[in-house]
Amino acid sequence: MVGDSLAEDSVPVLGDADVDLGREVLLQLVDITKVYQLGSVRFQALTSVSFEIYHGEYVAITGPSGSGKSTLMHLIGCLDVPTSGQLLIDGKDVSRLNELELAQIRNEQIGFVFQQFNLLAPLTALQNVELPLMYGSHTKRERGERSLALLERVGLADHVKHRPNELSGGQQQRVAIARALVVGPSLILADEPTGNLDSKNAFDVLTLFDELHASGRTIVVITHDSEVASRASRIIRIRDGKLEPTQ
Amino acid sequence: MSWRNLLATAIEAVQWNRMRSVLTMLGIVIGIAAIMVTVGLGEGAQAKVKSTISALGSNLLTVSPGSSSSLQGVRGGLGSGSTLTLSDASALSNPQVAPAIKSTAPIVSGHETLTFGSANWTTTVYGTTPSWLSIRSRTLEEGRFLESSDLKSGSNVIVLGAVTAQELFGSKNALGQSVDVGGLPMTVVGVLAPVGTGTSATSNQDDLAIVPITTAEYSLLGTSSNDSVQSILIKSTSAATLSAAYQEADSELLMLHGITDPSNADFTIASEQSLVSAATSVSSTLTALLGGIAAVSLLVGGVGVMNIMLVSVTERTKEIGLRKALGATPSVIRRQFLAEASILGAAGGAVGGAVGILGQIFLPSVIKYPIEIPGSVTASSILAAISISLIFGVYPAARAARLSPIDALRSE
Repeated sequence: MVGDSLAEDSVPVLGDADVDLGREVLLQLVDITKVYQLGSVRFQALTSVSFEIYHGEYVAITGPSGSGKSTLMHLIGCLDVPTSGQLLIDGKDVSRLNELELAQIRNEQIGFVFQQFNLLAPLTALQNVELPLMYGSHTKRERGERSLALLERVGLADHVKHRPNELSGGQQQRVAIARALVVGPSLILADEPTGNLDSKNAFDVLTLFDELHASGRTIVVITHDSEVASRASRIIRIRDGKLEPTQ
Repeated sequence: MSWRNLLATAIEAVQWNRMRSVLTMLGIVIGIAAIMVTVGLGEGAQAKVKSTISALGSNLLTVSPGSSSSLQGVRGGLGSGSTLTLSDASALSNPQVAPAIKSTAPIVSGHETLTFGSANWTTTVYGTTPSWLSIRSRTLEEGRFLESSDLKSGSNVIVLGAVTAQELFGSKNALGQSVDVGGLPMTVVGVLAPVGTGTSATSNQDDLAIVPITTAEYSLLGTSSNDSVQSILIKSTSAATLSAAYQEADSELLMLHGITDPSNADFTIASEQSLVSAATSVSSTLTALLGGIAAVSLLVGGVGVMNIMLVSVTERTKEIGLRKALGATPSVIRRQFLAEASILGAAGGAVGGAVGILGQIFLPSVIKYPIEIPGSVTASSILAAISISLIFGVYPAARAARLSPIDALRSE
């Protein structure tokens, strides 16, 4: 049912990532190290990690729990800064930015999809999708139009006024994906997006990602599920805070 | 984020936790209503004191012996000396000496037990002159008041207040009856008309007995010197000449007492106005005290807001993390929580104001006491509620703004 509604691939919001696939670097990690200092305990979460992600790529970052993939996700998502090394988004080094500048990058360049959906309970589906636009400078009309178009695109045109507790898990995750897309981000960053879904809904969400990829979106999925990872066009494996050589 | 969106978000959050918001507001509501009602009670009491004192008699000055302004040495306080005399009073009532003074009434007083048959009643007995009646703006219920012939002969006649007459004689006619006053039989010649409707503040105006001052001095109260009086009431010819009457009485008494330096005066002249301000200052002190206690309850309400906001920040850590991930800056988060606190304060203040106004309308009929809440008090109470909530919202809001997005998102 989700696949059906996504088949019509003509909505402009999804098709605006007009890139020469595989050429331009969107994300570049150069010798990234992250050390956590918990009291007297020093914990090295990432050691000299370097890789690139190109515009329009669909990449899965996988590894067992404790491998450092969550840390990597936080850095890529600009939720945290590395201890050393450089992280460039579209050629701009974000690894030394302050909290305010990071908030702006997250708002404009990153679209998050979480395992727990993380929708706000008091808000309707539409208001949840509008939320990232509230933190930028957008008119009320613009916010409404863009959010409605995206809810239609993920097949939830009939559920605009529903609150999260009136939606199924699959529907909630589709609202969350619409929310991730609403600012037109350079990167969709999904953290275990199917972790809380049954196989049918998981399949629908992954199909949606395929469609987004096909329309030119850059997607990074962090997962420990090899089935999910296999849908991506490239897999980056991480173990004990280090990159595993690609096969 | 615009202020309008911020307010809308805050209102949504407040509505979402409706029960908790109402309980939080309750502290503010009680604080504001308490402040308004206590201030209203104080204002009502002041208005009542003013009207009661005004009813005592218009254009009135009271001369008391002694001086309250002591500059050097040990001086008797107000009313402690016996420097005023009957001749002072008669000198002041001379229109050649003091044209602005219409009449004067010297007064001595004491507590005596009045006995009639088996009934007895202790009251204040005043010795004065016939002019007392007009100076005090009193009228007679029946009989007559003191006459100058009573004064000259020092006759044993007595005029009773309405309450005193009622206590001694009940429904019987008091006129012409003989009352034993401190062992001296006196004939009741008149009963004063009651002044008040019998409320507590005016009842003592109806519980008194009047005798000729000469009788009081020589036979009844036995003052130290037979010529001295406890106070002299002065009535000016009109309200406009009150200050002229004050000047005339002051300079005449200084001259009669042979005092050259006005700061050494052995008497004090008080106007009705100064009585009003003295009484008002007492009740405004009381109002300030009660208002202070009520303000403490508002403060407690503010602490309640802080408490709930801290709980709210902890409970909504994940929401804060999500908002930050979606691009909310720390200052936006801080403003959001401050907006929630001030909405709680504004709503609590408005409800508290409404409760206060309802109290003003319905309480007086229950407690038999006037409540007057000025509009400015209502407005400033609501402002105070908002500011208190804002102030107590600062810490929780700062905590929310400081949360790291990663830790916040991870929390369950």
